[in-house]
Amino acid sequence: MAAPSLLRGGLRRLFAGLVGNGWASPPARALREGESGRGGGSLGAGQPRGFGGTATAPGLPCTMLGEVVGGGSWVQNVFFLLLQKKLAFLRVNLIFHFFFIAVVEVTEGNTTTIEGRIIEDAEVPTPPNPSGQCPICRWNLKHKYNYVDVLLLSQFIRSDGGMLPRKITGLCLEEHKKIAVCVQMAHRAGLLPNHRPLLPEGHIPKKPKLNRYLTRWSVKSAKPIWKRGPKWCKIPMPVGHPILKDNVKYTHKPIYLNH
Amino acid sequence: MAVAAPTARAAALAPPLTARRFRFPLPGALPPPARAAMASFTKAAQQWATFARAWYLLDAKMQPPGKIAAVTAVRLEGRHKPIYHALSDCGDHVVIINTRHIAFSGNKWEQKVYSSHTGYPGGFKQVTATQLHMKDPTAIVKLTIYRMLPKNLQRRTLMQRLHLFPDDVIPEDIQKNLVEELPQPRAVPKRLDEYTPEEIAAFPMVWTPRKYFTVKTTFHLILKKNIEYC
Repeated sequence: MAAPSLLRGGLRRLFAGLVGNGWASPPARALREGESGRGGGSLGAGQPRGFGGTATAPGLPCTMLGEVVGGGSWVQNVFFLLLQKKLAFLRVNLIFHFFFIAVVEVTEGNTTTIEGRIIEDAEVPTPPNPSGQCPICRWNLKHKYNYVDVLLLSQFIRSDGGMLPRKITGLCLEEHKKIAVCVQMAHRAGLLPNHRPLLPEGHIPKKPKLNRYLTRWSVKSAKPIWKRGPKWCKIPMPVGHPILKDNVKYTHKPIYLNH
Repeated sequence: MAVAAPTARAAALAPPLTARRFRFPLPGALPPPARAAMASFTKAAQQWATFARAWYLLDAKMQPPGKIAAVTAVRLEGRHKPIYHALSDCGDHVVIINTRHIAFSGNKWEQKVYSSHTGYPGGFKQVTATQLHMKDPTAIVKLTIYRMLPKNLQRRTLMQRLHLFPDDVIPEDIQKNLVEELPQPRAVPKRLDEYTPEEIAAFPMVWTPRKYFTVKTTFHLILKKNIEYC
């Protein structure tokens, strides 16, 4: 999760004036290995951050991956929510401000300048169907994506792998559910290796030894089928998810959801 | 010509079918197609190329064992050849590597159960696919192929022509025999970190967050709602 750790350190100073006394302090989190040490105050500019040299395009929300751009500076795009409050007995008016903020860290000699610049509306190409209600309809992707389309799915997830709420992404309910199912299957297939939940310090996660794909149920919940039954009445092993059965098929083969 | 001739002539010469089934070819029917009757020097290379036993390589990394087994069984029997005949022993060798890294679809690692019986009372053993794979990384592929081959006496011979290796490491003498690598049956998807930055930049942002919006909510909801965005 990007934002909490970022605000703990440098940026808190920048926005100190905006925050009133209704600030809900975010839960304490240890920085992940390889995560940019913004909040922790580590000012190692120019060090390669991110996971194995990966990079994302500027404008992808809620991703922690940074890119080393040249020597001595790096830009990271952040998406976070500022909480402004007005405590009035039990009802609170909250105004959420969403910006794209580029955090630029520049080192000249022994002076490091950390600056947060608000980016107003990065250029986004117009969708082919601007009259659509949700992003999927606007881009004509209605029945056309699957668990392998990680570039699309990664736009709707947080950096620890969870889904963003519908109110923020603007997806309609059925598309939100489909994307959630695809994201689950992509996680279980190991296609999103860098969107992992934060772990306590010193904990080395076990690398999964078994490859899988199109996994409908969670790994821990599936039980062995000790007796599958006779040939005419076998207990099936489910594959894929029925919510994606309306996807466009480019061959005439039917999709088998039960193996 | 060579393909059509045996069957056409066999159909012309064979006596009409009776209720009794003969294990061996009926008198008058043709014997199985032999190697060429008269080998000429000019056609020697073509002869060898047609009837030689080839060695194929197949990489099972991130592949489902069922699809691997389907391709392999066809090659072992010799059904991929136009000169195929069940009795002419025209199958090829298949070497499968990286069987440790096969991928099951769905939850089959947990749900699929391999059963066996030792023959002694109380000897019914059942293990899940995970347990079997940990014990022997080649067993799943071996069993799948064994069960896909025709259930006859030739099956054991064909299994002897199958060579399974859990990793990339192949013995020298087998490596020298390999002729061709078979294409993988399943297209392996790219992980997010395998995409180049250019590809990621070329993919457009499908949604943008709205600039401001107001939400009215009660205080206890704020405390409960783990505000993860801050």
